[in-house]
Amino acid sequence: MEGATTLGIVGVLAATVAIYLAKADLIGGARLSAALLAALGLALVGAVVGAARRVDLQRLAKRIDTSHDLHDRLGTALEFSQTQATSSFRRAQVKDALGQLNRVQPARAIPFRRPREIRLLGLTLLCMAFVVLLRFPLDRPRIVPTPPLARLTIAPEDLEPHVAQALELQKQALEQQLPEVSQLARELNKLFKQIQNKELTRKELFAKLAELEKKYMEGLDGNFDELLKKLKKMGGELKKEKLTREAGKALEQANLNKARKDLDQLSKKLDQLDKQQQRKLARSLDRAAQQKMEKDQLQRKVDQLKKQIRRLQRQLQQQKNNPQARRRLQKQQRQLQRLNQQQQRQAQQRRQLQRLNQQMQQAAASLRNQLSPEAMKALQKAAQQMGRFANQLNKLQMMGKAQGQMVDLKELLRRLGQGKGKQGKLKDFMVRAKGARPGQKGNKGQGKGKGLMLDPSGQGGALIMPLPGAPGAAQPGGNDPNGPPADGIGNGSDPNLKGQATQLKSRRKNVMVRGEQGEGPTKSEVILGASDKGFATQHYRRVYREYTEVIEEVLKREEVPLGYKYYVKRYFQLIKPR
Amino acid sequence: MTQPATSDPAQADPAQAEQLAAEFIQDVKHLRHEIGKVIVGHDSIVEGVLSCLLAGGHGLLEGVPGLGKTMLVRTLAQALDLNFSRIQFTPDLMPADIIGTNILVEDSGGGKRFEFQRGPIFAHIVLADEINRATPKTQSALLEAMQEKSVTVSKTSYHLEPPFLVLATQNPLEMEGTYPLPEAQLDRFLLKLKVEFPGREEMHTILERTTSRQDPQAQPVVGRDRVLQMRDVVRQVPVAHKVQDFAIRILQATHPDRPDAPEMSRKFVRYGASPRGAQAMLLGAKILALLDGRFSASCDDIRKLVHPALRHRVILNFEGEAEGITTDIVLTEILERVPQEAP
Repeated sequence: MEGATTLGIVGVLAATVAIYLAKADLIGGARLSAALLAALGLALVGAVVGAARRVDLQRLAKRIDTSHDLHDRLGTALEFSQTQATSSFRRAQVKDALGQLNRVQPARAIPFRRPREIRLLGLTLLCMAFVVLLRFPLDRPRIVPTPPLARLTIAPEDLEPHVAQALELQKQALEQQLPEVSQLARELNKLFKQIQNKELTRKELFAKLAELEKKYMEGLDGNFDELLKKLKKMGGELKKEKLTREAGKALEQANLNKARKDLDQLSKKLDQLDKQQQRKLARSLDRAAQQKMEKDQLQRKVDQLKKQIRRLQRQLQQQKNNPQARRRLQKQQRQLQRLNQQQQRQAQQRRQLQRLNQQMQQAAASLRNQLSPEAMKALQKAAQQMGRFANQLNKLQMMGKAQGQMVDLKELLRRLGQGKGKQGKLKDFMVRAKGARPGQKGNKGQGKGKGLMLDPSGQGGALIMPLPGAPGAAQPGGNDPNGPPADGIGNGSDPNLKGQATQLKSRRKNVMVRGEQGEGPTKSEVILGASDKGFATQHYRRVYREYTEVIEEVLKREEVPLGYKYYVKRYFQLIKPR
Repeated sequence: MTQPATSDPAQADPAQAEQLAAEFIQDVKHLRHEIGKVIVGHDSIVEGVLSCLLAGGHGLLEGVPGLGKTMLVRTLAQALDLNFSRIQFTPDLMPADIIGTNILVEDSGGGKRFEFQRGPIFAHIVLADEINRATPKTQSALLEAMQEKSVTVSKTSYHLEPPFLVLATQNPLEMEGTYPLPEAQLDRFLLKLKVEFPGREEMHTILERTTSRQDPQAQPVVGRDRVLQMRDVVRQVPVAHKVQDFAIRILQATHPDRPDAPEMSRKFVRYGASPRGAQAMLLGAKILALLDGRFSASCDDIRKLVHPALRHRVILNFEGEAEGITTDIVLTEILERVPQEAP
């Protein structure tokens, strides 16, 4: 039965396929008949093979012994009858077993059992019946056009700060004569208009942003800091001499445009200088023209990366199916590419600084030789070089702003993509505030929290604030990731911490603050108390600008999570003076 | 007198085996009947003690005082018409007190010589009562007697007359001041039988018998020679290879270092049973088969013998002791895990 069932399943499946193919007009009637006959034959072959299989006598004897409670009589007798040596006890045993045969009932020993795969056979038969009853449609199914993707809708209050920023960027670019930035700002404004008119889908907007980034930002992630440092140092030297003091100060404050103007003016005044002044100027220019940029600052990093890449390549040769190593290799290759680009840009900046040095030295030499026209020409060239630096720096800063704006816009799109309303956004913020990403279960406190605890006596409303390490402090939360987050201070560190962990083992002392009993001051007392401190003496716009500059600098310098950045920027957009 | 069945195939006659088995059953039945006159219940213990006698081994009976262990052994000796001696083991008992010693005797001519004075070990059935109260030195005096069936004093060996059967008792409760039997000595005992407290009905019978005027006594029904013949009959019972293999696999399963040992063995057993364990199981199974009217041992017989034959041969480790695991629990687990058919 088992064999018939197994091969029967195969046969039914084959028959089902044959019927399907016949219905789909892929095979003819003759072939279908042959296939059905073959399927039937398979089931019969299974039954015959199963029936013809040799029965294991020992197993059979055991089953009879077990089912009839014969205490291994038949099994033992079978074994004794197969051996040569025999004794009276062995013969008696065989005789005893033969005597028991009369009461053996084969049906009791091997009761009928349904084949194990009978259900599967039934299922395949059902499938076959389904295929038999299946009606193939005569005409082709109508192709339903896929609905167009939904147009992107951004709330005006969300979009407005971005539009304002883009306009501001365009204005600044025009003022500073940066055509590329101006063009980028124009394109961004065009995009915002399209968003306002609901002409774009989310996907299209992402694609356009990526296109803009590729067009304008590629190769712009250079570092101007090193060059700026050298220019500031140059300014420091120039500042020492009265004639070049203004230009030096401007350079020291990284105001390259003013430095250019001052140098230009100085070049025009060279004719009016006496010999002593010319000597002093030459000395000052000579001292200032000693700035050099280190050549191999990045070389060590590049060498290290190359070494790691070689090691990973060897590892991959040995273990070809190591996806982790492959990913690391790709990442490091990309990093190497970036470093190479940075090296190229640094080399360019080095050459430019060298040229500036040469021009200033040339001007100094001409002054010593009393060749005023040549000195004037060299100093003007130096001023032009300074102007080029100023342009580069401005462009880099403006492009950085534009890039930041695009990042903000993408973040906004991502958040909109998650379908969050105002409440959702607030929840999202709370999740991020706990150091997790939205949609993930946040990791609870790493360490054991030390909670604030009210004085259990309840006398006098004392509020005990135990500091970390204080004995007897309550410890809610803690290491249990499923538990509620602790209210107090943790003593662990984020595993992804960048930089040094907070040093908890510092000298400290416990402070107990005793609250004052009573209802506290009234509202009017609070308001009047606040007015006692005086009124604002600075214009809000100025305060806002100062704070915004500091915040932008911090956001740029520090490694702040993108989610946090978004909310900080959003906050400053909301409190922006209108 | 019944002759041993021949193993010559030409002369092998099943009727002869049938007659031997029938006589065997009859004699055991008589013995049980006589013992039953005095001992109430304890059928499995009586069967175990008789198995020790008929298999040529020794038995260790463990039970709290007052359950009739000593009475059972004494009654067995009465029913068998054999010499019986009882040794009460105490901490100050010396080996010479058991085996005997050379004493100085004066002959009629006034000459003096040493003569060996036999100890209580020179009997057919020896009851070693509370064997764990004697010191290891005295306990070990029994070692040679139990295994070699002889004792050696002053370089002279004295053979013990067969059948020689030592039935030792021990009390599991009062462990203070006792000396647990060493593994080597425990291994000499064919079976370790646990004497349980009798049931309510049995208690009624015991009280009726012991508080009335009647004083039942067992009558001798089987003599020394017949015991030896019955031992020979037991050894003629054949065992199928698969049954023997089953016993071996059970024995191997008690060894924690075997790869196929059950989890409990690996976790709680320090040393597994010795090959004497398998011998005990097979001999006991043969006797059970004969008493059941069969001519060969079965796996079920082996199953019945696993606990009495192996419980004193399996040594638990510290973890097992600490967890309160007993060897009976381990053996039950082994019986569940080891399949009857070889894998």
